[in-house]
Amino acid sequence: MKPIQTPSQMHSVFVVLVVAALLVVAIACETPDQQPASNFAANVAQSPTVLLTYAATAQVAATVNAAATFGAYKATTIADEDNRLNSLRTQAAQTQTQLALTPSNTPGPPTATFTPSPPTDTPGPPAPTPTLILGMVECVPSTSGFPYVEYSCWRGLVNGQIVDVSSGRERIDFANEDPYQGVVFVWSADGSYQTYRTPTKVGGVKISSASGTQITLINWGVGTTSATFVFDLATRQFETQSGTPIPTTPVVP
Amino acid sequence: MQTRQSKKLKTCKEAILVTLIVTAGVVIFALIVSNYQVSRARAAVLAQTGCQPPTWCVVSSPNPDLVYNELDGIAVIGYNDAWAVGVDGFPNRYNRRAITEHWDGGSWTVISPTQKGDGSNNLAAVTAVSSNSVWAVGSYYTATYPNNYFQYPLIQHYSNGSWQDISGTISPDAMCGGSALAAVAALSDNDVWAIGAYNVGDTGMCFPPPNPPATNVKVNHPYAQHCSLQPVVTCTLTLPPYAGVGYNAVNGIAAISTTNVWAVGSYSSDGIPRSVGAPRPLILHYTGVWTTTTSPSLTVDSVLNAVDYYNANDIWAVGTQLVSGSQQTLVEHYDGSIWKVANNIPNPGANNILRSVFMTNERDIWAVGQYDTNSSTNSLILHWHGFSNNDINGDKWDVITGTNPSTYNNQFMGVAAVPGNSTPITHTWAVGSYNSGGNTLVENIAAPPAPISTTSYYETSVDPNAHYQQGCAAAQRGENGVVVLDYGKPKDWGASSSHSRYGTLLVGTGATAYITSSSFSGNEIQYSVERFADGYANCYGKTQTSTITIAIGINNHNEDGLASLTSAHAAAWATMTNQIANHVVSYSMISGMAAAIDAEPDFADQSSTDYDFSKVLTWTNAFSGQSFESYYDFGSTDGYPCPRPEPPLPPRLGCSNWSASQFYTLTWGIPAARPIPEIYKPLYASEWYQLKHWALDNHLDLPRFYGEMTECQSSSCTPPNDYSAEQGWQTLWMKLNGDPNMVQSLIWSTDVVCSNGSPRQGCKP
Repeated sequence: MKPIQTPSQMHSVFVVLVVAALLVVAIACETPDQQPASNFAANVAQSPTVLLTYAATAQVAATVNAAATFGAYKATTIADEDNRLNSLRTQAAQTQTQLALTPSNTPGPPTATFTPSPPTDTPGPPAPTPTLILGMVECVPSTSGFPYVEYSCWRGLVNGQIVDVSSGRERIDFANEDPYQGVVFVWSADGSYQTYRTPTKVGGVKISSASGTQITLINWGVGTTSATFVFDLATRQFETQSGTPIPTTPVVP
Repeated sequence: MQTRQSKKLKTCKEAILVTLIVTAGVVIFALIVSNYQVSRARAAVLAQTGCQPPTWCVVSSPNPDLVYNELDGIAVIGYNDAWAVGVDGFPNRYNRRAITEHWDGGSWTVISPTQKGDGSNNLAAVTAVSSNSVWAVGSYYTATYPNNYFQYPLIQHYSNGSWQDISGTISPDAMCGGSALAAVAALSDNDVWAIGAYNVGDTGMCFPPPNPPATNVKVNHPYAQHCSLQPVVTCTLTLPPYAGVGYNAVNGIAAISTTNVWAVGSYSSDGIPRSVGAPRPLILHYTGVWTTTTSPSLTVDSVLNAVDYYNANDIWAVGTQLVSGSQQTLVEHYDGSIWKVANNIPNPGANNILRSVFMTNERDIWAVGQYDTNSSTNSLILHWHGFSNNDINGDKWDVITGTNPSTYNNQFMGVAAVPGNSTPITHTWAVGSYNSGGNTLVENIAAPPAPISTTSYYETSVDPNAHYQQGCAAAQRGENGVVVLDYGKPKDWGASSSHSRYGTLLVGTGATAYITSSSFSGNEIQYSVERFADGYANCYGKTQTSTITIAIGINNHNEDGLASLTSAHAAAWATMTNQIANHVVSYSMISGMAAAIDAEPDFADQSSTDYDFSKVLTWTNAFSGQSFESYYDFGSTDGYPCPRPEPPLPPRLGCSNWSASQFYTLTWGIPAARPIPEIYKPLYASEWYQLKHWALDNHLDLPRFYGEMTECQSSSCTPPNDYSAEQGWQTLWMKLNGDPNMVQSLIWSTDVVCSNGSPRQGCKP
């Protein structure tokens, strides 16, 4: 038998011996390294079920398919949601947002009306049906890699479809950064979005009101000059104050 | 009677004892057998331990000739792909050879071109369009009529594994006696500039006619070749203006765009025809035609050797100048309107010469050359740590220590890193020679391999099962370091009997997450984080040694003004963190528990006069003096190149909304703060580097970063807009450790992903 001559031979012997020793230990001890899955499952099962609910006004939809997602839904209890709903209703009322969005060229669902109720600090009784918030809504936080900042967020109906709209500006230090450039982005149900740049660069923009399929944006933020834009959600075009479309193309990612 | 369990335990103990004895024996045996090899390995390690950042380290490079070898230019394509060019052989017209050496990530090897003509060849400069398209220029001699060795321009192109001579027959002085290319720059394979000078000769019969007309003179004239590789190699001769009446030399070129090319060199300024005396800087600018640009007034004997740029309004040229009888470094800067001479650039010795300059995509500037001491010539490395076009003078330049392998005559001729934004910079290289040109000299500063990154999460739900799996996966991957669990936007919903008052809106989904509540055992942040810790602990291997710190975070998303960055929220968060710390106290593999915040000025409520700085400060202040570890700031600076002027002055559009002192306060000023900044792209590293410099200049403490965060797996992850964890770590490491004032280790690296698996920036489902 040849003696061990190289480090690699020595390492091989070392590995074989250690593996053999560990096998002896493993067989002798038979102790699992991890918590059994069944125990864990039992622990988890003690947690209350997360109730996925959507808040919707009855006139919009009595029920919403739980499989559908629109980017701003929440997992919580119904009672909890009511508190937040009331708070948001107050905000929505303050914006005087008009929520009579019907498609401009096709018959649509009944006009959605919105009646704010005062906020309350105590949870109310469980809502009989899920409700969907329309109007100005709280913006859902994004990741820090998201290339835009969102100053305002809005949800409404366009051509019978629920549409989420955000407005803001391009972020500083990003690929196509231009913090002077205001943007509107329209979210799709699958979580994707299309971005539309304001016709002129006046800084960020904030949604001030909505009427029909049109949303009105005002500039908002550092160093901006006064400006107002109108964006038509049906045509996805900016318009002049007189209603003339301004050629608008979505930003290519 | 022994129970079955106790028998098993006894057997187990015996087995462990046997294992320990066997293992000890094997280890002793291994130590004896491998003693010789271990000694050798240690020697190699010791050789490296003497070279720590910011010192540049020698990398072994071949010397094809027994006597004389030098490298004059370098181009870097990637961390495992670089080319250096030069010449070997005793200096004469007859037998020198052009040499090229290639770095493959492990070593430099000679892959030289076939020599051209029957005289000496040399390559002076190199540039790369891609791994498969590298251009090198210089000159060659050939013995043709009138029976003398004449010098002609040489252009070599590397592709498909070999060099091809594409010099063609272009020469401005076929009859005149000498032309050479000294520099090359490429925008693409069809937009390559090679530049040098030709000698208008003795006979006055040169082509093209010299300007001014030469009669029996022999004087250099600038000339350039504009080359295209496709569809066939084509080079067009262009003649930049001739300066003065004497000798002109062109040494460096930088191509910014098709119609914006700069070249530098020198011209004789003594007004005497054919004179080489009184050289002054020559600056040429191509905008469709070549023009001469006025250089700042300098004393005579001033030469520019190289030029490079960051953008069209930030261009640097380096060389040497004679000041009061002393040869000193020369640095000039172009800000888009005029060239200025930088004052008080460091001069470590006598005869200071800068021969090459390179600007990185992080706006680092490296200039290399040589200087003399009483007994030797030493390699010279200068590093710029300024940030604006106002920062050109010597107080923004540091002398970096290089390794001088020889006791005499070490010099650098070229410096480069990866250009552009497509690849993170992991190595910066300098080439030259030592031992009086006897040996090639290659040195670099190189980022070490990044530590294994942890996975942090934008938590899109408070599903305890999902959290457990996250923790378990972290243990199974052997993650070591900090793990940030980001729960989004802080909220205060007011008093309630059914749930916690405080919590968050989760990133991407907007789902509500409550901090804690005695009536809830699930659906809350505390329980989920504890399950994450349980998962890590339960899946932790017996032989594992890694440990993690869990940082429970929020962000300051408040653009719509609806976030609750309040002291009460922070207090609740601190209480929760303390409770979780108690939960994990028995987990030795969890080394710390902390709060965290993604603090970004771009997230601020625009109607807030201080852009939410005081709110963020209020929230973060709550974590000083806590029994748990601290809080981690994993934010960004959002425009730090121009931070907000110190309040009450307002911010400027396009600039950061927070001032330098405000950033400092959040990053280091609060005792509990531990920064792990986002490094998503080169600019981010540069901004944090600048902030640290500001902190060093304005405070007595020694601020440091603990690590860095990337968001690779929640985005497309394509440089230059999205770095991987390793790229982010190495970029920040290089930025910090290239500067002698900023050297530090970076402990951790983490990459944040959406817990719902969404690949979208924003974690939308």
